Amino acid sequence: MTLNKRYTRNFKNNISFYICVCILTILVVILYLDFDAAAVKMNDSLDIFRERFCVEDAQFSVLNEIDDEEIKRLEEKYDILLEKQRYIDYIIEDGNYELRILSVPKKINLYVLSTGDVEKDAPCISVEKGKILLNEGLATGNEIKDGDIIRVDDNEFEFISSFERPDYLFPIKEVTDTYALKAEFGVGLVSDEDFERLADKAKESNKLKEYYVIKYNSDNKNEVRKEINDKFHMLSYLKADTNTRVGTPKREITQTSNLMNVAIIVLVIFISVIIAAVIGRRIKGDRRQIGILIALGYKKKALSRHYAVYGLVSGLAGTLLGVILAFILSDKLIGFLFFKIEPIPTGYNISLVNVVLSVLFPTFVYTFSVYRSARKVMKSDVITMISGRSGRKGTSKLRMEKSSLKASTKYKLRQIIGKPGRSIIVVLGLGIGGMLYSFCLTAIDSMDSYVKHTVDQIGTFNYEYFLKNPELGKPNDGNAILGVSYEVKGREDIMMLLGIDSPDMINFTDPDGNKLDFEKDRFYITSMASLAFDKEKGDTITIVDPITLDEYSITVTDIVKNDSQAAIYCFRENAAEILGFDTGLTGGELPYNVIMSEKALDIDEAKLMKTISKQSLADQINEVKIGMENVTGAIDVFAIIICVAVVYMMVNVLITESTPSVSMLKVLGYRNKEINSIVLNVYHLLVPIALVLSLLLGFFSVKAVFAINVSEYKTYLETLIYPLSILKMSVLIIASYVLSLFLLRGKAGKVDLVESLKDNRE
Amino acid sequence: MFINLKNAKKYYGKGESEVRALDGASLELEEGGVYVILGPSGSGKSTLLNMLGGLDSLDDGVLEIGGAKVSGMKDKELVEYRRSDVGFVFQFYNLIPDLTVKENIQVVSDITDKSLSIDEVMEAVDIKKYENHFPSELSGGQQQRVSIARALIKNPKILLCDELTGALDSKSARLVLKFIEEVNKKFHTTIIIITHNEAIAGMADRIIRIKDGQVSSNKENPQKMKADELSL
Ligand SMILES: Nc1ncnc2c1ncn2[C@@H]1O[C@H](COP(=O)(O)OP(=O)(O)O)[C@@H](O)[C@H]1O
Ligand SMILES: [Mg+2]
Repeated sequence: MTLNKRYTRNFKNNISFYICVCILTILVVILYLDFDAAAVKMNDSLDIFRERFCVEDAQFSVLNEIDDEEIKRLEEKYDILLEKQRYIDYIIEDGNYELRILSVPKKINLYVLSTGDVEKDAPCISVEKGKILLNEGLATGNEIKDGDIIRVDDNEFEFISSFERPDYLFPIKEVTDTYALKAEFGVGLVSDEDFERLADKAKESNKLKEYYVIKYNSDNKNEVRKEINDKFHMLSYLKADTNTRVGTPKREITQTSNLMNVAIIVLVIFISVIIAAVIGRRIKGDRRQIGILIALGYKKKALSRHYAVYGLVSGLAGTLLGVILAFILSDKLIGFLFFKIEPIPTGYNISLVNVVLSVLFPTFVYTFSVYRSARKVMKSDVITMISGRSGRKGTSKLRMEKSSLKASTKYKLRQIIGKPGRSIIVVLGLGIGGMLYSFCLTAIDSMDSYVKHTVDQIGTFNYEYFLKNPELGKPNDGNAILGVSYEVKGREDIMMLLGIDSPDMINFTDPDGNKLDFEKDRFYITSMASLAFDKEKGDTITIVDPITLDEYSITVTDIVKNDSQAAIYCFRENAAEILGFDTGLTGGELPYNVIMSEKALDIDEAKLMKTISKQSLADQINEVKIGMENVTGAIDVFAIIICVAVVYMMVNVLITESTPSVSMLKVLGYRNKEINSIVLNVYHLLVPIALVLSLLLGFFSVKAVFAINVSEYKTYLETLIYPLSILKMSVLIIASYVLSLFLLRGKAGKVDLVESLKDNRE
Repeated sequence: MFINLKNAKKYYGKGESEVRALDGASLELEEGGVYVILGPSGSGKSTLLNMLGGLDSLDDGVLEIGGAKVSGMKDKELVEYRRSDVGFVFQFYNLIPDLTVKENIQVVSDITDKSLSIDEVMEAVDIKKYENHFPSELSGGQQQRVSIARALIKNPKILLCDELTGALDSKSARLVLKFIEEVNKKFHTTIIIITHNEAIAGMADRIIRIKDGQVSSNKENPQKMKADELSL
């Protein structure tokens, strides 16, 4: 068909427009394949990893060792897997990092080599003598290569490969940590023989740590816990779900994939629909030609098909390029997405179904849209089509008789209001592009503000020393606290019950800043706990002792402003009572196991379980912030591409649709600059609107994400954005806007002035 | 001579499909006259007019208007020439659809420093009462009067009219031509009207005929008539 010659010509003449369409389509496909589909796939892989490599259901420590025979008996009796796991922490002088050498598990928390695939490989249960495996984050963070020698105390091990374990995908040192400093702490595996040698030595200096991991197969958790507690005296019990180290990867990936599933799908559909609308719009410009062809006897069906090809070709070109780029970039982008946790060893291959989907969906939407708008154009009768008159009804008849605005300003206003479809796309395009950016800025600013201010609002203390064993009375220095972790009934999270004598190192105010009275037999929860567990003043919270499984219900008296810790404050006596501590036996002396202090205290290392400094809370959020800042780099690029491409496309459409006016202005002696200032500047007014929209969208998305993440960050982050960031936002949006106009500056100049006069009969 | 065109050539296309729209046309016209250019369709009338108005440039030949050498001007200079000296009226009016009648005229008065009063010009062509209407709300004759008002607002030296009555009924056409006549008298504007309607030639000072891209004759009109007297 001769008509087909139009294809090449048309694509060539509007090459920049179609390039824009292509770029946006590529973006859509990458976002979908590398962010959404990848996140969903990661979720699956993680489930498989946890399942096949037998991640623990819980870990606990006991006073009396459970020997192999007992383990065997319990396993058979309750249909469980039970395994003792041991580790030793070392400071590696050569590398300036801390290394935790773990015993190689045989039943639970099995490992996989980083080069392997959790879906295919058999779980590993041994390591060659003299060799060492390190988790990938530690190895890459310290640039450790195969064959490098790692010196652990006086022993030398050869590093042969990275590995991952399902319980250390979030390699934090203490389970109370929020962020994995991958270059500073990591885990390693050596052969059983080597481990025993290290263990023998470590025992002397009390450095060998032991705990038990358990995997249930039936619904008898409570019986098992009860028997173990009765027989071996449990000291602690931590469910995997409430264990940050084990639970975070699952939460992180599930949340990300849920977020991506909503956000990316919305973005993908939105961009596809914008593009489809814009391509469809261009067909209207061909009204006259369509009319003539129909007059010549072409069938409407054949013509619709002819036009549909424009959609088909743009769709295919964009999506196919997108698929190729998505494959190339997948590793990098997925790494970005899950920067907080270790990479899950799985040959991430983009599934064929997703590839097909990402090609078919945009292509179909574009093709259909073009087809539909061709059909719509053909609805009017041939004569009006040829005269070029139809379709002009839409122009706004805003008369603005009284207004003293310049004619060119009125023209712009009518362009904006008279063609709302076009304007809405501009606002949404800029708005969504900007939102990506404002989301990052808001998140970073909120974290920054937290690091700088919120932590200090908790109180004047700087250190919390957790003792291995409770002591009686009062410490020489600092305040005594009886602090115990409880499970919250019906929730996955844990919460501290803090019995204190007086709130003098705590900022004891309600969220509005009013000083609260601290009274006996009353329970105060932190604002963070209030948020995390959805409890208000007067509500009842049931806490469960993780060891005895005893339950206590308390009524919330008031809420204390503290966005960093989920805790209940009460009198030390009340806490002791709940613990079942019998003060009759101690002559009324109360126990404490935490010392809170403003200055660092010199406490015997042997007595100390762990130390939490207020600064470390801030440091960890700071790490999340830094990670976020890295991601922002990638998101900026997406944001700018979307903004520039959408504006470019829309101004392109605007110019095409105003060709007759542009050409007339030229005839009338308008200089190109003047024409640009009228035609290109139509959307200036929309920029501030888009800016406000993107700020709001970003702000409220962050607020929503923070609310969901209260448990993950172990803190509630107040959402805010600094004026400087608003300025950055404005600069980004305005710069992308100006950039696309700059790219289009020659476009109006190219409008042929004689040719369009002939065609137009308004 | 005010207008001096020598050996003008303008070819479109190449080889087989080459069209010689102007093929050695020469024309001399004095300032202040009403000139009608006649010729069959495709003879090169519009091309000639576009050259005179600086919408396009010649492949060969010389064009001088009011002492300025228009041929050889760069695009930028052509814009300035159109801006200050030329008014156009087209067969299909070519008003800007998103501007009202008044604003369509304003658009031109905005870029000139010798603008006439918009209200007066609107009164003169009798469209003042439609000043806040959009082009699509007017009849063809009314639109054409707006387009004349737009061309005249900057008081151009030359008014170029391409088939200006081509789309109008005879009553509207007469009204438009009458107005053109008045403009010529009042402002001494040089007026060139292109048409294939012989009757219009009656109101010309000189009648120019074009054939195959060349000026075949350029004669004084022995019986110049008023627009009112034309038998359209
Ligand atoms: N831009 C152009 N490209 C190609 N051919 C053209 C162009 N403009 C005019 N022509 C051709 O030049 C010839 C003269 O056209 P024109 O001056 O419009 O004639 P008239 O106005 O006398 O009808 C015609 O054959 C026309 O097809
Ligand atoms: Mg013509």
